[in-house]
Amino acid sequence: MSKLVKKQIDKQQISVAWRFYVVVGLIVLVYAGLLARSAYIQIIEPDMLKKQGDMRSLRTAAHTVQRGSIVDRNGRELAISVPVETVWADPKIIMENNALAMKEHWQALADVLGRNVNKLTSRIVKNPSKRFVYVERKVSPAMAKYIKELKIPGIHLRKESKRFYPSGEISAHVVGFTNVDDKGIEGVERVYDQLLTGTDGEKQYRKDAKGRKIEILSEQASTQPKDIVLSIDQRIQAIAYKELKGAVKAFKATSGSVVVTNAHTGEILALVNSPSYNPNNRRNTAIHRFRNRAITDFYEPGSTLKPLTAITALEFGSVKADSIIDTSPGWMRLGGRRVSDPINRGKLSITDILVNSSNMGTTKLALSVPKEFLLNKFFDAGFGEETGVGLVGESSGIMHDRQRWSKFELATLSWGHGVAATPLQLARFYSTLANGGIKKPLTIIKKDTLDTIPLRDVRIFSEQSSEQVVGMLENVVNEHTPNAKVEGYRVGGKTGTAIKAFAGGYGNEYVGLFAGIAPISNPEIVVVVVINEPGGDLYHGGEVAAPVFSRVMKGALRVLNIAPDAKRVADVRPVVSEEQPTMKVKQEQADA
Amino acid sequence: MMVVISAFSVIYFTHLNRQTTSGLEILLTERDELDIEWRNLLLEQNSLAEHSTIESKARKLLQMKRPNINSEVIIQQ
Repeated sequence: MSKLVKKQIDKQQISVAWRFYVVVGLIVLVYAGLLARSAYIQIIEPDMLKKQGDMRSLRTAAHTVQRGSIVDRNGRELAISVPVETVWADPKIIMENNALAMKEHWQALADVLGRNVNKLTSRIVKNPSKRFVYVERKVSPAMAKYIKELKIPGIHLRKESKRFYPSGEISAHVVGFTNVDDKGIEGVERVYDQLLTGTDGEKQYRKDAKGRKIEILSEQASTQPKDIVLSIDQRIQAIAYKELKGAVKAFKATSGSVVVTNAHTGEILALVNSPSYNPNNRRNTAIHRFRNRAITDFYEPGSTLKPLTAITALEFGSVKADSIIDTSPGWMRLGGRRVSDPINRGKLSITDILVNSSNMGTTKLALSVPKEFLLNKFFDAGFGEETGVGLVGESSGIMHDRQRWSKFELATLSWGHGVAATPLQLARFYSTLANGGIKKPLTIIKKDTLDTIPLRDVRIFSEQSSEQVVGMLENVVNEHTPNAKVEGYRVGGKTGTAIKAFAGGYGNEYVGLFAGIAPISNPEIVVVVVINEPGGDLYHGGEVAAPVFSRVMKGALRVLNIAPDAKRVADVRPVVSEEQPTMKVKQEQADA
Repeated sequence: MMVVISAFSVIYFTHLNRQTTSGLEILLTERDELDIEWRNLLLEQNSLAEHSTIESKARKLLQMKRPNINSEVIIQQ
């Protein structure tokens, strides 16, 4: 019996030890397995899991940069980019989710877009396997929010940028426009395209389960574009455009241009053309409307160039400001060609020559100086060269640089024929006169924002003779061109009427011009008006262009707050107190 | 003991950092949205405040007119 028990115990002990080892072995194996697995994950192949993790938490966001704005000298926006949303559909997702069953939602979508719901859905039904269909491009943010709230599966929004031109056709030629890809293709938009374009930034970040950004991993900063500040004053620009448009219509002209410049700085305050176009919607616009005529088209400036002949003679010293020139008998022959005035005007002073626009007088003035001197002054005055404004398509007009000039050709030059200039070149010459003989390059960019341009001022006339000629121009307006007068201001200027030349001669079309300066006591503003091919009975520069000049000049002087110089200044200093008025004026200055 | 304190402070500050970052990002998004709104408001302002519109409104609705030269008095110091 005891033998049997002992045997059983032995057997038990043996079996217990065996099981124990198995269990221990298994546990060791499990741990070894875990160890091996974690070692495998951690050391041998960690990349796969990292990738999986990143897929769930790592995101990249693009930061799009809007195109820079173009503003006028007072900071009013002339071109501005606004982010808008484009609605697009993914027909495949729509079909998969059977989203077309949401009838009311689709009706709402069609209503907000102002479309027919059947047309809208049929486009999607037609292309069930496509992944991208535009629904509506460039919708307003409010609309986009509404569409987002509809939550139709497969209808998505995408950010795009749209360029607006708040000033519309008024500044269309100066500002220009961009194409669909936001690249400038006309005007300032094109010239300063690089400055206006920024580069998009990118940001890589980690998000948590709730979609919050918790860690910024890398950031590629976007470069902000620059805003362009033009020298244009939108208020003057609006006045000029309104007057020009009215005149072009009233005189049935084919086109017209007005240029307003600041005589001291060479800044262009206004540059308008008619006909113009709407830059916000350029569909169905005739190509010729896009042309910035004030810089691309050139005309024979006619009598508006006579002051240049006069100043040339004064500069050379062949005549004095008070010299008398005998123009009788009112005609002369030069190399077989006839130069004549309408009537025999007899003895004229230089002022009278300009007032009466005597061809005989300017011919005599032109022939009183050496040929080279005359031609050089014409070139110096900026004819035949660009004005420095740097806009696309600028023409430098026609001014022949040749050795042989007959006397008759010199004579025609003296009254502004045989030379062609853009309205901008004419404005530059008058600006030079108004600026005391110092020629400056014209600019469309506000001066104090652009200090990179080196000073390129050249003195081409003496101060004395410039002032003399400007004074003569005042007499021209007072005695000969009442249409150009501006109430309260002393104004000087010269009319011009040129017969349009075409291949082989002169036709029946005219160009009416007026170029003028105000206020004479301290010239600030130059206005040049060109009315091309007036179709009515009136065609003379004094009749078609001078009234426009007068109104534009009046508006510009008012806007710029230039004190009237023709009127006697009222002395209203009160006797009671000397202190108060000074204070008040100072207050006003501070307010301004 | 120090190791435990250090470990928990690392956890705490990482959390703090993440919260601040997410707060910053929310503010940046808000800024972008405000910028968009600003641009739209600018457009609205520009179209409403166009010079010729103002001028015709002043003339027609308010019967305003430009002063002529006789009603102007210039004060010089």
